[in-house]
Amino acid sequence: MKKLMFTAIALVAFSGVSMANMKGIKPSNTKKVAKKVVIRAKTDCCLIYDLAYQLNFSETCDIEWSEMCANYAYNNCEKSNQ
Amino acid sequence: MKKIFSSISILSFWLINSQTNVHYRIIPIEDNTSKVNQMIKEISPNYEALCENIDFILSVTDKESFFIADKKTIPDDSGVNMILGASGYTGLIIQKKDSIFRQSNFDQFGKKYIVTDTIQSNWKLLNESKEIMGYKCFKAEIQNTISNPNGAFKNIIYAWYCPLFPYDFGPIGYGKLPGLIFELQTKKVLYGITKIETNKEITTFPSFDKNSEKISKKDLNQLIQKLHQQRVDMMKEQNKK
Repeated sequence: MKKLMFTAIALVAFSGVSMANMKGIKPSNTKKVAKKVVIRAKTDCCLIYDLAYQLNFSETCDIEWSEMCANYAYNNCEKSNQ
Repeated sequence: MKKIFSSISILSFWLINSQTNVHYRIIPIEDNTSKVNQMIKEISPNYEALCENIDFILSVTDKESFFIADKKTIPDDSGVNMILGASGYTGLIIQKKDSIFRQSNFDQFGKKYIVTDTIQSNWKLLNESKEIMGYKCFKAEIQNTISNPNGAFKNIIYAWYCPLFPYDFGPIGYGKLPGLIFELQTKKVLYGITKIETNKEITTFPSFDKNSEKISKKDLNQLIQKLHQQRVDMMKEQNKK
């Protein structure tokens, strides 16, 4: 409990110092910057990995190739999610 | 007639005492109904054109052969690598009289595998013939069985071989025909000959990746399935968190 109190006090004190430091600084840049927010849906790469693996079986591919193909599909998905 | 016979004999003798390098390229077979092909096209729209520049070399002596793609000619492209796997190529393939040793590209935390298999020999020789690069070639077909968790499936593989070149080898471990395979058609790709360099000095064979362990195709398939399931379970667990 004591520890928690100390942390809370320290946090308040620190924010106080920070606020005090900011008081003397005048904003130098008054231009408004428009921010663009792009929302991109992340693909479930795990699902892609498993789907690619199963898809190959439906077209009579062997296990080794199906796994390799699934790995490439997964890596490609991870890359496009970044 | 005698002259032809003697020239064939001389050519055959000359060929079996040297190394011959045969170059191939692959052409992906178009199949608009294939969902796998659609997936590859989605990932790499230009994969068919990119495949054209890959140079495969089959180096043969009378006893053995190796088959490898020139790494410098393989583009860094997921679609191309997918189609390479579909073509039956996963790395260096060394073919002896009755067995094949193939570098698998399956990697288990850095541990690699060499898949050992026997060469299929139950070819059906057909009466069809055609000229490839000025040589008369004959058609043959073989049934290839692929097993996966959905069942066992039979595919027909077609080969065009040239009896003038008395080597029983060909691309991706196929052989045991009365002549060198000039063209090989699998379900996904066609291997076509581009160049033959005869009377080359016998060179040392390339070697498999270090830390590779020999494994049968059946055992490797079991291992892949087990690890695949483990990976899927692990990913699902991570997604829950």
